[in-house]
Amino acid sequence: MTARAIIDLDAFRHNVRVLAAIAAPSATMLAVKANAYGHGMLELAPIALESGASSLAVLDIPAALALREAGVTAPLFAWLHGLKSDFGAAARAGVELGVSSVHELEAIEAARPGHPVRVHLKIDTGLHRNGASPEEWPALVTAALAAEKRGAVTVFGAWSHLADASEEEDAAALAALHEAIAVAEALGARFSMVHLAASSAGIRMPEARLDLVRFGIAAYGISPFDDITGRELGLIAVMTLVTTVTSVEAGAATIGVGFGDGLAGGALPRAEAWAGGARARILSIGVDESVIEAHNLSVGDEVVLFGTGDAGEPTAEEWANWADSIGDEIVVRIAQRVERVYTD
Amino acid sequence: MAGLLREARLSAFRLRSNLRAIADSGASVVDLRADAYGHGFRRVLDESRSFGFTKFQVSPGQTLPPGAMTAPDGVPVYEGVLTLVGEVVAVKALPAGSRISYGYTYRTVADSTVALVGLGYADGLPRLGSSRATASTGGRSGTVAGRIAMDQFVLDLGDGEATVGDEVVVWDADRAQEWSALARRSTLDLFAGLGHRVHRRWLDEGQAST
Repeated sequence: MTARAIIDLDAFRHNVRVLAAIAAPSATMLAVKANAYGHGMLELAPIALESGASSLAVLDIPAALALREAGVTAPLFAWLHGLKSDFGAAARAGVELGVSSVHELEAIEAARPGHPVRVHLKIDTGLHRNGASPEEWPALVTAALAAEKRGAVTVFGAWSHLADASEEEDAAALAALHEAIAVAEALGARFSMVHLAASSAGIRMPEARLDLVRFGIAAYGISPFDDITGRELGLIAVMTLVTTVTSVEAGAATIGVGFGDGLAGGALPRAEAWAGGARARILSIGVDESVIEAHNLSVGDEVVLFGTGDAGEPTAEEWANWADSIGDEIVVRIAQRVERVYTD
Repeated sequence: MAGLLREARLSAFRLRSNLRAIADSGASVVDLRADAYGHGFRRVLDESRSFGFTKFQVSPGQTLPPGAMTAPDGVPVYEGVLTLVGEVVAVKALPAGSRISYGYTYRTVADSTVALVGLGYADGLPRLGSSRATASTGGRSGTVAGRIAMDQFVLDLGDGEATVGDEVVVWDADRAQEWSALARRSTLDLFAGLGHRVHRRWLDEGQAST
């Protein structure tokens, strides 16, 4: 048996409920971008919506269209656009769009949407990725209000991203967002939805929850913090990566998983697996197979690479630590060729 | 395509010259594991067969057509075949000392043009490349500024320029080596880790017929 990723739908349900309760009365938007962080977007999206999320964050328009095609009718939010992004298709599918610049607004209008597209204007509050700078912001707001008058858009939201650098930095970013909203309101804008927090601020920074929290990694049971685990937050890891022993030699066993499955080679030499009721050091990671230090294993025995940690197996957070990464990268890199097995 | 440019451009010319070279060296087995290390199993198989190869090393789940058989000790044929290209999504002019991306771990050393690029670790860019790896746009090289995020990274172009929609070359033959060293992974591991959102496109470059 080759590697499988077991996706525990009940754990996901639990996490979304826990996070939605933390965010309430703010609404919960669940991030299912990047194929739901590698877990399977089409499978998890309906469960998120049944469990307390009222909308979904999809990153880009193609992901939103895939969800619409699968019958998802909830609000969808897409905010990373390229020159060839199909704003017409987004409009027809009723996708809400994050907008960072006047040229994006113009592209939306040029797609002749036929009905007003809900836009969320993005202000850069310090991360320096997307979003209008404080200098560009008044022009973006003014252009959006003009486009609204022409029936091309509805100015619906205002939003930003936090850097999660420190409490003080995040407080400064929140203040910058409030300031930008005051500027926009003075220009005549009225926002129905203001949002800033993702998992970390959603949990630890109540004043940043505003109208809506965009939860991502925490919903998959992985902590957004480095000083506390997902388990300690009351979350359950959703993905368990398992394989089996394919051959045994003296003091070692070969297992059916490798970097071709997305296993993080950078985690060596510290990486461990769970085999025969104990931790086993991983000695090497190949394309399809890896070698673990092991005694008393037989061909066909199950080996867990990471999971909830309940039985003593490593977690994705431990892998992240070994690989000098974050849990998000560990799970999202699990390759497409790894079969996802959904359990309830 | 309805979305962002995220493209692995694959050179059929380079693949064929690699195949010719390993055929000349006497090797007889081509390594097609892990979807031909992200290059696409089917195309590499077909190209290899047209050079007379009949034996292939494959991953579990990869099935060969009649006339081809599995064998151990395959040779990889991927040197310089793949170029990973992304798109500039936003451009900013930032003063010296501006901090960038999660954790504010990066500061611009001078007044800088920075470009937001729509590729991240979900696409296979190792997060270990943060603040160290390089990429280029319009022939101008820049440094990855701050942490690589799941779907995007910022490129510090210094006194260079960029425009929204410009192509950014993240990996070419040289840069794949650089990223691989930073990520403590082989280049084959890097290529095998390309995400599902990255579109593969073969370029025939007007050379030998397909």
